[in-house]
Amino acid sequence: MIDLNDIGRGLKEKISKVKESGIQRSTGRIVYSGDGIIKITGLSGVQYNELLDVRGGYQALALNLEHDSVGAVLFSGEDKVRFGDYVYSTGTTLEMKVGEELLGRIVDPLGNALDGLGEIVTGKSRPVEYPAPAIMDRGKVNKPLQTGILAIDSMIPIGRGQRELIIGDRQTGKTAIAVDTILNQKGENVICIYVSIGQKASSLAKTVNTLRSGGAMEYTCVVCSTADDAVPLQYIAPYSGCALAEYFMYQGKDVLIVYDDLSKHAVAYRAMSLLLKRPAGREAYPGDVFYLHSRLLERSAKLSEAKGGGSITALPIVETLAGDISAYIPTNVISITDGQIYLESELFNSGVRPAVNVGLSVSRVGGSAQRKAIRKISGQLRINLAQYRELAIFMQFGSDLDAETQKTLSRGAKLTDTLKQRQYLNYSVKEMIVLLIVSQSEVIDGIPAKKVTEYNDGLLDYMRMNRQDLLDAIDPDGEISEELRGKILAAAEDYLNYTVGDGEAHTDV
Amino acid sequence: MFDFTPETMLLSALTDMFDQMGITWSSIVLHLINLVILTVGLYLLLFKPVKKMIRERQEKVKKIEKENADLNEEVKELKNSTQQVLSEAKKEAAAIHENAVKVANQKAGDIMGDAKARAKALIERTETEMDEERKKLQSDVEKQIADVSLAVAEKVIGRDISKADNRRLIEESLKEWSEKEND
Amino acid sequence: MIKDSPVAKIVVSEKPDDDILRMVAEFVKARGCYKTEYIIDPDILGGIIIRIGDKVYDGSVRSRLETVRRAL
Repeated sequence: MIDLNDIGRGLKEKISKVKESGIQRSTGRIVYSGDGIIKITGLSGVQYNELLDVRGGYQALALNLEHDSVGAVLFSGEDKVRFGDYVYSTGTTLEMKVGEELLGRIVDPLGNALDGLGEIVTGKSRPVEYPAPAIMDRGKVNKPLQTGILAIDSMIPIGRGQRELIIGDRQTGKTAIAVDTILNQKGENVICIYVSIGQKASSLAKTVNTLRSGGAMEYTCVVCSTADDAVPLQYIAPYSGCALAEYFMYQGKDVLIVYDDLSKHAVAYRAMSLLLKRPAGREAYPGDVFYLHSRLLERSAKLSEAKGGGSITALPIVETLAGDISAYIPTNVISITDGQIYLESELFNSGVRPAVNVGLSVSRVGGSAQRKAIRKISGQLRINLAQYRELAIFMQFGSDLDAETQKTLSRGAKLTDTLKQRQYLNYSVKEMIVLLIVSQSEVIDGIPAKKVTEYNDGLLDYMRMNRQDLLDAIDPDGEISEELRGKILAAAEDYLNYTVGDGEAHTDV
Repeated sequence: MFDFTPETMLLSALTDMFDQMGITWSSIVLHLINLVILTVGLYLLLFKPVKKMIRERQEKVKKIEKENADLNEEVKELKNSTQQVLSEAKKEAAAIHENAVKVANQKAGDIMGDAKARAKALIERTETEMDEERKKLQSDVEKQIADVSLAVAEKVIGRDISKADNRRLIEESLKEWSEKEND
Repeated sequence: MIKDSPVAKIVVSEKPDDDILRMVAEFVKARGCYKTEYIIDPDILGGIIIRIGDKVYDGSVRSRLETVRRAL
């Protein structure tokens, strides 16, 4: 199986490529090493964020430039470097491999393959730290990024080039929303990058499997740093992912990047800063922890048409503790992003999934990018839901209710049910329009209370099989005519009669 | 004064007969009057109510007959409509069934396609993994060879490097560095 | 003569002849260094390593071999 001639040829080729020249560069010697941090004397002329070569083939990143020493963090070989080892400067900053070859792959923050599918050779790289697009290079967010999740696309629309924070406690389905969004980009010509920062390897494996079986890996790259990776790797992971995203953006493509999650990133940065003996601030985070995230998220942008019109849509994830969104990192990131999707564990546990708290979730720029038809019909949605919630709280006191109130309540409950959505079950825009029209009409009164989800699933199947003509007639960017609305409602009524029959239907109000 | 015509003869004969039976003309007239009175009385008292009764009967029968006919008609209609409803229901049932089969088929197709795609992906992945394994083995061998040859080179160079060679090396290096820094 | 002039540390594999000494002295003088210190270390196999302050000029056979090894 192994071609010996090939080996010989490969070796010769490699040897011929080696440059025959003596090396001259700046050096220093390690005077302290511990916890992945090294202190180096000498090394004059080294730059901030410069990559350093440590004798033995290890790499480090210069972060603290002081009067007579340089503080650097090691990417590898923490336990191998010794006091007095020579450290050489390289003259380059940290770079990430970029290229189309990375799609479908799992790489570490330096662009090396981790999925056992062979070395990645692209020949191209971009600096990990790169300035954000200038003001004049930016365009207006005007194209929607469909997440396929009804609650989000109807009420918290996300535009291409927007930064929408996903925030919530642990186990509230934050990653699920991000993964669903990636899955929904199939055929949408959007390149996805999933950056895992300090995650458990097991949950990362699960996510990757989901993406792979959903056929999403074809247009996705996973940049991965797990919890057992060196802290500096976790620290640079989002910047590397962003460098890759920029490569595609400056080609005029649309990119979706998920940072999962930034609270772990801040923790990694805190660990690094404390070990480098930088002064600690609130919650022991260093003073520049705000800048840490703002410079990352500012790189997400929508470029103007003159610059190719590419975009990076960022979905940073932040984990809160016990729903406290006023903690240091959450408030920071909320203020940088263009809106947030707030997930609540209470909602999650009561079966509302995705557990989006509609009241606290906002999207600051996505509204203008929303498809016209959806914007038109979902206008009332938020208000209706708010009314329902108010009434529902009031109803808990158990007083007798008049028919009108009962109707509002039952409708609100059914509307909430309509917004529930199984994971990995994404709706297309047209399906969303059908569901939104039906759920805000009289038809919904005919559906028994516990069967709304079933009905919705069935209705969409029914429409696909039998009323394709109606689905074809829907124009997401135009207005829905009264006539089409009537037809859709009639079809929904038909399906209602098929499934529920009209016997018991109206008894349940 | 008597002319003996047959008529007069008959009349006289009749009169004779009446005389013999004791019947006079007056009694005949009286009887006639009696008969008239009886007939009129009977007609008024008996015939009229009976006739009315009969007529009423007739009407009743007619009405019943008509009702019967109506009922028949209705039954017929009912029968017709039932059949219609039945056939419609059958049609609808067929349509629903067809739909259900369609949906089921589609879903089955989807599931099958999904499974096939997954199986294919699995095979592909395994193949690439095998390929990768081979490549890795190859690179391992490569590395071994490189290590060994370098070790050999070290040994040989260490012993065999001549003074002239060394001098040349040093000269070259110094020249190169000087040139580079002057650039 | 010049205070605080850094010492150039020079590593060679065998005792250098006068010619080499002259060349090296010229080389380091051009970089503001007037004192030299020679170390003979056969382990570098050949060539020369000059260290002036933080700067290192590595032209040893060992480091060349090392580069080749890294590339393979």
